[in-house]
Amino acid sequence: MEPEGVFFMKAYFEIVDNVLVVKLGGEIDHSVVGQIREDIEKTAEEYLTRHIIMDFGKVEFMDSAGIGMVLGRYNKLKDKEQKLVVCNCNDCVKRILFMAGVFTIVQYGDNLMCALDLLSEEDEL
Amino acid sequence: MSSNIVTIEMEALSENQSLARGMVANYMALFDPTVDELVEVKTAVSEAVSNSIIHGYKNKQEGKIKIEISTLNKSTVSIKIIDLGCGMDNIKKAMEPMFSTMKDDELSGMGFTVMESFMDKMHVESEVDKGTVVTLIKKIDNDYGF
Repeated sequence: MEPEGVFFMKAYFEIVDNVLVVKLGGEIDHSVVGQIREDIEKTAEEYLTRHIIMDFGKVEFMDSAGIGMVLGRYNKLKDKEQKLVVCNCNDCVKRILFMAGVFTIVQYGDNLMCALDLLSEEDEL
Repeated sequence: MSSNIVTIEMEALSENQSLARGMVANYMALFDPTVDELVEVKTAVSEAVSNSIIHGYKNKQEGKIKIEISTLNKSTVSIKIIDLGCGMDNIKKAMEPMFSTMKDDELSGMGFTVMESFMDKMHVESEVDKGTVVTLIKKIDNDYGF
């Protein structure tokens, strides 16, 4: 179950089949990306997941530190032929990621279902 | 009209970044900005402050950052972010999209690009070993209210 009310944690994880779903929340800036990055890496390693979905649904604010975080994950996964999908971005998050051209290389889904569909399409091919 | 200068001084700690943009956002309330305008200013301030912390003071979590907010006219705000860090020898290079001196740390090099596109004007003065002053100007459209 997703915690209700105030979103204290910056990243909260769910696993669907071989996909690690990272639910991000709060304000993402340079002071928190290090911790998030570490948490994602540790969780993916511990549960041996393959692909990653980053769900920005509860993010209230993000600056360019988020670009590095997304591209960093993308590069790590690409080396292992795994996929990253970003989903559920509000307008300001989308604008920042768009500015850096993130969506030219990272797939985007409007919501978590779309993101999971994108990954299952990939697997069938 | 008074220029209503507000000066904030804080230590160059990462956790102060949200404090900095929050305080600027509070000042912005005087201009009755739209949500978009507020987010743009907050993001630009966040970029400038993280630049000072990460590059100006080389992420040592020490040193002081001064933020000077003032009202230029009834719809224009000026925000100066001042640090006494290491400065830059090539401002033009630093302002190029995707340029970063610390690419390994997953820094995107998009800070100045974000500031430039979210604010109306940006001016950067910097001297090596003396510090950097970033001036951000934003015009808030409060004549029409949309």
